[in-house]
Amino acid sequence: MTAVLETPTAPGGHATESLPSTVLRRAATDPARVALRKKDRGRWKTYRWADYADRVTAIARGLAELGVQAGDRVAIHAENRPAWLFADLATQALGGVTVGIYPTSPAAEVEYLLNHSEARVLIAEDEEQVDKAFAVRQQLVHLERIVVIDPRGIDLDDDLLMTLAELEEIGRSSILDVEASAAAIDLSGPAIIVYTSGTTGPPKGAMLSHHNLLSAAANSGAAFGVSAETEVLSYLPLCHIAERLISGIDAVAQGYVVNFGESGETFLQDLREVQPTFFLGVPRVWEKLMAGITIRMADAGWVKRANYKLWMGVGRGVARRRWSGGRIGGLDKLRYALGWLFLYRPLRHKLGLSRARGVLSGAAPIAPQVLEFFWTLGVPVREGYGQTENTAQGTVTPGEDVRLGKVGPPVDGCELRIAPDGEILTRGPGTFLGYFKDPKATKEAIDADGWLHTGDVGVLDEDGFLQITDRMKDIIITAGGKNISPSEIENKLKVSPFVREAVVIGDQRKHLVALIGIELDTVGAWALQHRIGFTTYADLSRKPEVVALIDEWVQQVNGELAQVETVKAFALLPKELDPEDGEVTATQKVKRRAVETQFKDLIEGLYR
Amino acid sequence: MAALSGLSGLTAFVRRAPAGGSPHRNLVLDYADDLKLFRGPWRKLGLGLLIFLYLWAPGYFSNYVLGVLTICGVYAVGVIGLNLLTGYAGQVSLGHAFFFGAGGYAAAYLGAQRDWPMLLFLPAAALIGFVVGAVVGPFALRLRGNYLVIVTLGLVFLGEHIWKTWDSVTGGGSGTSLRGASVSIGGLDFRELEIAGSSYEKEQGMFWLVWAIVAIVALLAKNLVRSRAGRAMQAVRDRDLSAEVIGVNLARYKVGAFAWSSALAALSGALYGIVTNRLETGIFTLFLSITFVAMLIIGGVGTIFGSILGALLVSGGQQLIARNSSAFVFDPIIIASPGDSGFLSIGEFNNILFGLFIVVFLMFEPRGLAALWLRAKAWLLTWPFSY
Repeated sequence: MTAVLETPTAPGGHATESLPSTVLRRAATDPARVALRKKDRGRWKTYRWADYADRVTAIARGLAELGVQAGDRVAIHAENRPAWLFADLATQALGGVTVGIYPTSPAAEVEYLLNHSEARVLIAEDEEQVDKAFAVRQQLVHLERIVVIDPRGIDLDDDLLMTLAELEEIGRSSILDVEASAAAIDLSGPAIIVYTSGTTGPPKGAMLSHHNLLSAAANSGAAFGVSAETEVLSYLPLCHIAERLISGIDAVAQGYVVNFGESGETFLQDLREVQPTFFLGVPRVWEKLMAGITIRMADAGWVKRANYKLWMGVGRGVARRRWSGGRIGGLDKLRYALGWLFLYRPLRHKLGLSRARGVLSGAAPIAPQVLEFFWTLGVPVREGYGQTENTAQGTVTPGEDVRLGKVGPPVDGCELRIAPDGEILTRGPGTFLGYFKDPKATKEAIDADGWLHTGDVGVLDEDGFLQITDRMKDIIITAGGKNISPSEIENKLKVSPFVREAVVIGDQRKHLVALIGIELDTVGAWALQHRIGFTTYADLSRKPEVVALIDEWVQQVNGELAQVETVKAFALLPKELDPEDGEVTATQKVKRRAVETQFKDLIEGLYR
Repeated sequence: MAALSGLSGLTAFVRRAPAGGSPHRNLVLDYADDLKLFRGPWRKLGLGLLIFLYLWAPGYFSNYVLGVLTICGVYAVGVIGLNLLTGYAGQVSLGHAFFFGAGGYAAAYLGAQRDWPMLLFLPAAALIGFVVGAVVGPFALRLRGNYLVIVTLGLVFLGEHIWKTWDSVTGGGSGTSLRGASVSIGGLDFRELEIAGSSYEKEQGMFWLVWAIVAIVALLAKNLVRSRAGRAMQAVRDRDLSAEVIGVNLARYKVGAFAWSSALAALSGALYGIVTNRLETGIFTLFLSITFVAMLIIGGVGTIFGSILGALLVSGGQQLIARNSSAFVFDPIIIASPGDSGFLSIGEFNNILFGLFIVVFLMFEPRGLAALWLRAKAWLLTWPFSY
């Protein structure tokens, strides 16, 4: 593999064009084309490229009037919505740097991020987010303005506050040449800072340059299979690099349509309405979709259940033969076509994946059973591997050569090798600039040769396919000296629709134990069916019937595991893990250390 | 410049800007999408099929079958009216025969005796029904359930008396003829249609006329029940007190439902007159009211297309039984001609049979035939799940 060091060329040869410039160009050449849709009061409102550029220009001018200059940070604290992207690109157009804050972040985290990033302006979505900033107002030494997108219920009689509409109004009377400003951006400088959720320690701000973003965008056609005809639904947090790539960066570069649903709660409904052609899910989303299907199927009448069972069996066979490289014969095609008519098509339509051609799972390892389930339905979920620090440009499974448990070969332009200690190293145009105000951590992450140390352990097979073992620091070494990857066991446990969270523990211990969090919806429904009354999550977790239900499943999973990997004892978590309590990150990744301290007594009880 | 601005004005009518990808049809881009009656390919296909049947049937079926279908269509208009009142606004009425008669005699008087054109006497008949309904309607403000039924029942007997004694309009006991009433719109005489050189018989013309009116009435009714007025009516049906509390004007919607329902019953009666050409007082009895209720219950309370199903099944069934009364199944039971074996007249047999149907449907399928279809549709639409 050779190093690709020159600037990547975006489609159309606009290698030197920043994303804001691309928006302005699209508005000039194709103003009436649809860029975004947002569901508002039951109807999907359309934003054309002309509207996109108009809003970006107005906000950029407004921010400039507020004094935002090249290199300044602007923080955005909002759910996914068009204004998020407008503010992001407006900031970039001025040469500024955007900092995204997770909508679920508590006030303390908002304080840390705003102070660490030294953001001058905060774009806050609504009352909820403004309140968080106000709670720590005295400590925000760098913040000069809070711009509110939706001012409902907010007393605007405060010098710190203004609305986005007012900002745009100011901007519209300015004559700043945004086009020239966007064209003059130093593309090797930082464009955005993404605070990594950090399962340990405080978040670190990974600086990504315009070149990083553009190289990722240039790869998106090949790696994700997106084009100008793509429709996506924006639903993962935009602060996360994966969603930012899909809804912001790639969408602008490729010119496809991004749909914003009504809110996080309406995700399933929005997905059904949009029927995206490209869809990225984190394992939690795939597990939840799968659990939803199995639970609803169990409630169906016998005809529908039999139909499901029959065609799932057929589809599984076909999917397995496809994976093992076997030939798909005419009979298989016929059987699959019938199954398409009777099960796969209507089921995919109900899910919202009827048109999904490019389907990815990323951000965390996914259980093979879940992948197999969706392949059976004809949703070819591919796995991708990447992290913020390499602009999510790591590996992706090629569509035609899926190998279970492997995340595929490196994407174009990315070099990948395994360090002697097993750590995965990557190098390429996606490698980030460094951590903001943290040269020490930057030095640890990028070595002298430009290799990024990912902190993940894995192996490469002879065809260059990567297999991830686990996060380096998560690997469990039992008292017997055996290396065990907890996430593999956890994923197996999470395949059950009743299990939402599983944390395997056993570092320096004689055997493994697990903390298991039940899924309230499904276990609750199960309890109702079995006439088990319950009041709260904690109460439900304590029911002996529920413990027995989970125990049965754990024993079943143990049957598939090697002796040392078996879970000898488990306890059900008395509460749902919550980002506000610091037990999971905003992207629902378990903070292992925090959970271990929080439930210390529970764990010790399992070893007694 | 002017031409350009004209063009930009035109683009306002192009609702969907060219999209990058194509929006899925599940996407509601505009509130108008939500209001479409024929949304999605299946409904459009169904609509196309109905239009095809409408155009094709008169050329295929015999005059006898067309006559049966035409009478079914006449009743369908009345049943849709009754459905608005009973199925949607929840006011049970046995007075439908009275309004039906009023419409019929209005058509006979205005059309045959006064020589009004059809486009005037049909609406006039409906208007008379509307006014009479609006007069009777206020009873519903004071009375509910069984008491309202008894009052409306009284109307039928009141009506019978009026029809028998108002000789100048009704012809009294000897009946009145509508043969002289014009059945034409512009140059099109539906009794002897001539379109593009080919001529059609009376049965064919009347089929087209009546079913076109059924289609218009059904569309109007459908539009009514899915609008604000329709929601208000349904609120009244489910609990009039609660409806009033949430701001529904009870007087307006109860009286309105009576008025519109009676207008449709009267229109139905007028159509009955011009299709059969003869009206006699013996038609507009309590049994006709009960037949309407039977059509409503068997077809489907609270669905517009159920009304049409009910009319087809009950009216069609009665006519077919009357014609085939000497067939071997009915022969031992029905007295088809004097001296025939059997113990029931055709009318008695029909009353018993469809009375039984009412009982069976009320017990096992209270929302009628339409519910069977709705249930099948829901079963298919939720496939592969159950909800």
